[in-house]
Amino acid sequence: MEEIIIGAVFVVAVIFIVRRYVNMSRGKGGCGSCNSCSGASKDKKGGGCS
Amino acid sequence: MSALSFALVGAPNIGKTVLFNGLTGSNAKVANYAGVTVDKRSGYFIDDRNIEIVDLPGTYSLRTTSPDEAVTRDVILGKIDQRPDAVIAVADATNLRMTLRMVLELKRLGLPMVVSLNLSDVARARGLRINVGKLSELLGVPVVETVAIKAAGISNVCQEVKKLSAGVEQATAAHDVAALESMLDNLDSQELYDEVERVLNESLDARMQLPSWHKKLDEIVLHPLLGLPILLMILLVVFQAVYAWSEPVMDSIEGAFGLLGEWISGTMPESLLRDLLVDGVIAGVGGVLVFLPQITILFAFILLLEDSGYLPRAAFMLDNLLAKTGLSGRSFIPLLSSFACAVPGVMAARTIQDPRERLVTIALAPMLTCSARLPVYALIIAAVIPEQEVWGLFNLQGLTLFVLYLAGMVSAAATAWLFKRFGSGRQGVQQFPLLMELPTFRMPNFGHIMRTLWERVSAFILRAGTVIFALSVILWVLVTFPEAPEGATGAAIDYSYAGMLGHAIEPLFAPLGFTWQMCIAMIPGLAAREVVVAALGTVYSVAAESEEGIHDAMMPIVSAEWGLPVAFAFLAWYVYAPMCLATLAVIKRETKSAKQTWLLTGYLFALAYFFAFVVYRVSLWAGL
Repeated sequence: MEEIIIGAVFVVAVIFIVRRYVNMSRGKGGCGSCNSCSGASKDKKGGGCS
Repeated sequence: MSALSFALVGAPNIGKTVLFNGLTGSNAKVANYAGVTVDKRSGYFIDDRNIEIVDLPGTYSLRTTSPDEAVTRDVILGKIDQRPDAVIAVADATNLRMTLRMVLELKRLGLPMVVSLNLSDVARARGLRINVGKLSELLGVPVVETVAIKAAGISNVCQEVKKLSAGVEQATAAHDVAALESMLDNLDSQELYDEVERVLNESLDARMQLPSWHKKLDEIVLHPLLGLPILLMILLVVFQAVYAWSEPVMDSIEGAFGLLGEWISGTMPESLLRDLLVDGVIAGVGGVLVFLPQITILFAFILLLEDSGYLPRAAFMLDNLLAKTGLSGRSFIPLLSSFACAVPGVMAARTIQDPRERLVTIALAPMLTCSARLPVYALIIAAVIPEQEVWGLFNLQGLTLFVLYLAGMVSAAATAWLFKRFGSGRQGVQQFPLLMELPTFRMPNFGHIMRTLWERVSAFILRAGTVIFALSVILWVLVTFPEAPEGATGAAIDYSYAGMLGHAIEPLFAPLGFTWQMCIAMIPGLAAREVVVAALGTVYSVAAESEEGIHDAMMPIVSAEWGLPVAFAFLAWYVYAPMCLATLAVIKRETKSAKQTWLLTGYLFALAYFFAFVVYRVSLWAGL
């Protein structure tokens, strides 16, 4: 059971990181280092570092 | 029905983005210098979600010269997306002469418009009296006074936007872009300036006077001989404060994470899940969050300097110095932004017209010490540099941090000079002198500074709770599995995936003195520099026999096992290494060239390897 929980957390973590950096390289969303891109409101249309 | 679109347009550094934040409820980055906004961004009007507000880079004219200004022109003309339905023209009440020209250009395009006279409070305090009714009559559009940094200061604009939206029809009709462009290109500048003068003569009741202290302060900070030492002293004080003021809070955070780890160890039975929480999550995330006070102090000082109006003066002062390296003061703002993060620094290089200078600035930005490097530097400094006073004035640890920042700056200047000396393609490159408007000195707005500081601090905490958390979990799994075989004599970590990988990479970094644990930590550290601290925390926590806290486990290892030569080499590596995927992704987007991105990455890694090797060998030779 414990291994299953850890495995699931690991997979979610990998997907999170891969998605974040793939999206970032496509200009969607930022790295989280600054708020140059994440500053716009939730329902923003633009944004992103690009 | 699709939303109406209102574009925010005006000269640089007059508070367009502050107004955008106020109108949309956003928190986009703002600062008291030109060139912070280099691309369009949009949000919805807080009082009517059918209205979209588009914030555009600042420009004095629609006849543009740099890539960021071209964005403004192209959006207004409808070359990018749909043409806006109306314009909120932002003018600086303290400098109407420079900013009204843009308003007149916009008026000729025939778009419905409201003029926001920002910084009205500062203008009034300096004796300027504007007859707003007369100005509105002369311009033929509504004019409202605003103080964008105050919540109540933008209510006038909100009212006008609502009024304007009632009468505006969506700009769906086709318009002739070429004709508008041609009309803009054929505008007579002298005629526009004459019109600005006429409008000002008829609408100003009293002219503005700068107070005498302002002139005296400018004479001191811009003094050819005193200016540079003053700048260096300010930076030195900042780095001293980063160390001197942060310690008590850092100790508290460290203590809190230590207690949390002990509590989990005490309440949960020994299991893999407990190890994941203590060695993976707490060691990783806690190891980075400990440095939050230092980052907060650094950001607070940068914001104070920004908001007071000092930083553009530093750019002005450094123009001559930068010219010797082939750059201009125009590169200063992108390079300055890089001290917070290289990502906005690389983006801010769009304000540079000369393509060669722009590329060199992008190449230098990752060398300047971003806030993500601070945890790396702070960890190593705390472990190997004794806490002692120098000349009874300075803290040796703070002085070391200053030297590391200086090393980044000197290396960037030397590299720029080398690009100038040995680079090709000077012929035919158009040279643009630095033309920059110095904002007036002003008392920093502490409410604005505190809000901005919270945004940056919360971004750092969020990053620790997301990216660093996820990377710590991944690394913990890799250093834990597969478990050591029965009868194994070595440490369990040696048999893990990460251990195998670390040992495989170790020969490459052996000439620099790096251990295999450092090699493992540098891999997730590629995602972002501060992650290497979290990774070291996880690697050493897993390897440690005892249940010590993060720092208690790491500090003696860094201090005793690494020794000064390895610690110095590691610091030298991090001065140059482009260990940040976000920066590389942005360089690729900004240069639009995979070849240039690979070249820049390669040269930064080569510099990192070279300097780490030299520092390691010299330290060994010196018997450190």
